[in-house]
Formats: sequence, C-alpha cells, structure tokens
Amino acid sequence: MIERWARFWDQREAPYSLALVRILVGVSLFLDLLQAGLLDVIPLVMAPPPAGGGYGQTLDTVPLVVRWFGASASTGAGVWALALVSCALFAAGVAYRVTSWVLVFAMVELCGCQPVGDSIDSLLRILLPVLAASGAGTAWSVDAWLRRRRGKPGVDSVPAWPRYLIVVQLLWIYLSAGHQRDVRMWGPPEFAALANVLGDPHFARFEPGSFAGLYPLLQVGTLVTMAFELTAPLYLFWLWLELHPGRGGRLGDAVRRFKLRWIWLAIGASLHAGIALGMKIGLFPFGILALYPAFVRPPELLAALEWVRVRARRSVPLRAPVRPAE
Amino acid sequence: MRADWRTVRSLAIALVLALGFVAGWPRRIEKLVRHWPEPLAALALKLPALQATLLAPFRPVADALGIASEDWPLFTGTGGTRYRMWLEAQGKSGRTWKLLYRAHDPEHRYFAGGLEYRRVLNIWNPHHSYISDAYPGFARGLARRIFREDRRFVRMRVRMEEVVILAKGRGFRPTGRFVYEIELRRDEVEP
Repeated sequence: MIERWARFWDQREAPYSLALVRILVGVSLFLDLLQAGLLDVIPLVMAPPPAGGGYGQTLDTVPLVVRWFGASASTGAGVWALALVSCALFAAGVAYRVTSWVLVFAMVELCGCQPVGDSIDSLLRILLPVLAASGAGTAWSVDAWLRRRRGKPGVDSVPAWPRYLIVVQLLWIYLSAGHQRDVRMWGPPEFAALANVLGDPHFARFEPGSFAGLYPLLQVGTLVTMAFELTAPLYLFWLWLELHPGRGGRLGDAVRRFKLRWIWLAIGASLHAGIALGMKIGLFPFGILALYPAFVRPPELLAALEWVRVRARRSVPLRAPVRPAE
Repeated sequence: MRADWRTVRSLAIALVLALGFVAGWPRRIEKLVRHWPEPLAALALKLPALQATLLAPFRPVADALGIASEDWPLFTGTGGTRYRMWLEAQGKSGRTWKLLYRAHDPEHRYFAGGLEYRRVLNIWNPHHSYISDAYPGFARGLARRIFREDRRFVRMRVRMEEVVILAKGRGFRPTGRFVYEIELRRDEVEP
C-alpha cells in the first residue's frame, strides 16, 4: 500500500505544464504588483498608520523585514519592490531555485505588512512554495536557455507531484467554496447570486441593472457555477477514466466519448473569464486561470501547442508573387 | 537509499494533504449547521476545537509561510444589504461637502484607479458586518493625499452608504443610511 503510494508520487513527466504555470502565475502577479506602483497606492496600502493602511507593521507579531529595517513606509515599499523584481525573475526563470524562494519570502512579508489581501494572495502563498520546489524553471526559461548555450542537454523530466498538488488544491478550493454558499442566493428557486453580484456597486464592472434582461441566463449561470464547484472532486474520476480506456464500463465510455473532463475544465475557464469580464476584483480570476495548465498533462499540452502552431502556419496568407517593375 | 527517500516524501505529502483537509474545515461552521439535526450539529460544533488541537504542532510552519487556512468561503452570500463608498472633502467655509469619489458614479472619479485596485478595495469594502482593521489607517493616508493635492480642502470624510440589491438583477437601491464614517481635519493628519 505504502509502496504504491510512494510510486504514485514518484512519477516524472516533461516539465512543460509546470513551466507554463510558472510563466502565467509570474506574469499575472507581476502585472498586479506593477499596477499597484503605477496607480501610486504603495504608501496607502503598505505604509504603517498613520501614513497608510499597512497595519501589519504595527501588530505584536511583526514581519521579519520590520524586525530588520523598522516599521516605515520605505520598509513597505521595499517589500513591494522585492516582490516585483523576484516575480519578474521567477516568471522568466532566471536562477529559478533562488528567485522562486525569494518570491515566496517576499509574498509572506507582503502579507505581514499588509494582512488585508484577498483569497488569491492566500492561494499563492500556499502554491508558490510548491512551484519553487518543482522543476517549473527547467523549461521555457532563461535557465534552460543558458543550459543549452553551455552545451548541456535539456531537462526531459521533472517530478510530477507538484502539478498533482496544484490540481488537488484547485479542486479543494472549488469544493470548499461550493459547499459554503448561501443556498438562498445560490440555490433554488431564485439562483440569484450572479445577478446580485452584478448589481453590487463595489464589484460590478458594468452599470448595475444593465443585465436585468438576461436574468434567466444569469440564473442558469448560477446553477452551472454551483454544479461545477460541487462536482470538482469528480474531475479525478474523469481523469482516471481517460487514462484507463478499458475501465468504467458504459459510464467510462460515456465520459470518454463526451470528454467530460474537458467540458468541466471549459466551464471553469468560462466561469473565471466571466468573473474577469463582469467584476472588478483584480487578480483573482487571472491568478486562478494561470494555474489551469496544471490540469493539462504535458503530452496534451504539447499536442495542443503543435495544433496551434500548424493552424497558425496555415493561416498565414500566401504572398502574391512580386512582379518586376515594367 | 532512493526507495527510502521516495517513501519519506510520499508520507510527507500524505501529511500535507491530511493537514490541508483539517485546515479546510469551515470556520463559519455555526452558520452552516444551523438547520442540522441536533446530535449531528452538536458533533459538528466540536470540530473547531479539534481542528485547533490537530493543527497546533504545525502552526509555526504555517505562520512562516503565511498560510492561514484551507477554508475558502468565496462569495458565500450575495445580495441583501451591500455598501457604496462615498469620499467627500470640505473647504474652509464648511458649508457643503464636495463629492470626490463614489463607487459606480461616472461623475465622481477622484483617484478611482487607485481606490478600485484590489488591495485597496479590500481595505475599504465592508465584509458582511465588519470592515478591515486597515480602514482607519487607509482613511488617514487618503486624507493626507487629498489635503496635499488640494490646499483648499480642510476636512474630508469617507463613509459607506447601505444599499439594497434589487431582485432579478435590477441593480441596487440607495437607502441614505451611512456607516463606517471617518471624518478627518487637515491639522489631524498633516505631519
């Protein structure tokens, strides 16, 4: 039993899915941090009172950076700058083994100085150490490029367990969110939750009330969201059936034929795209979508990229032959 | 040697998954079990204490990584009473308040990009029946910005109007009731 468990977590795979997660998470977090700088909110968010709302620096359990440099607006700004720079290096895969852990440290200190984050910050603090311990930096990175330049062979395989943990984490988030929802808004007969959110002046991107004509559609959206979240654990079953073509009897055949696993993923991606479009909540939908490549096995990812490459090549219009000037 | 390391790692992963599961027991369990049968609800209400006991030995590691919980109550309740932020400033005459920013008001957009940036929004957006501990510091920081940018203002206030979300996606209705009001004078915040 323990031997099978150990063998399962010892599997290896090509590094591409994890590398794509690294790039997408890094880029989206970098843009989020950069946005804070461009909007000039660093002092407002990070400076300790009375200069700003960064009250973490004044709590009893002070962050390490505050112990080292004291509580001040510059300490807060320094942590933000450290997060920004390490995030850029993390995304590009520069000295990944070091920069990924520096980013983990910066995110913890960022939270220490400004404890009012949102759920995407909490999620990244859980998953960044997993990514840092993974082989996500061995492909599509500056490190991989330098390795090739030095004449060393590329890394063919990395441990798969970090990707598995990311998948389990995402499935748990959906299940945890789904089973805690207030049934009066998210359940029958009203299914009013999405319509309500689009009417909230703090979150709605468009004029509240402008989707009243689409109310039945929003009710369906609420129902689908709940179904998607509460069935999240079944994703592992759909995956298992896909990986074992002869198993599962008629149900297995149906799951494979109707590509249930992919339908579930497409619903999730649409859900987050809808949140990004309809609500002003910043990084959350992008941060979650950045983790979605973890659901895709490396051979599937490479096949998809090859498909895109072939289609892109086909869609390039043929140039008309150049005629010599008469 | 390799086999030993594999086993240790897989057991460590099993431990992490088990701890994650325990840390994911909902914090708002009292609310969730309100309508459960009595013996079951009583049993469920013992979970938070058990959760704290089980997680205690691992708390230092979780704290070092800034991991608070594996409980994800996202958008649990929508609708009902919500809020709309108003930011106003007053000149020396003290007669009227000038509206600088109001959520979802295209006419009043002072510092809207900054105020609506998620890390700032999370500070001033009330969550159900409370507002973040960073709110007073945020208000002072914002006051300093306003007074620095416009010497005419001597007073500012930030407050939340309660609004009611209308049924069937028809938007919201203002109530005229304000909460979480903070008013600051220039001499209180200028260094």
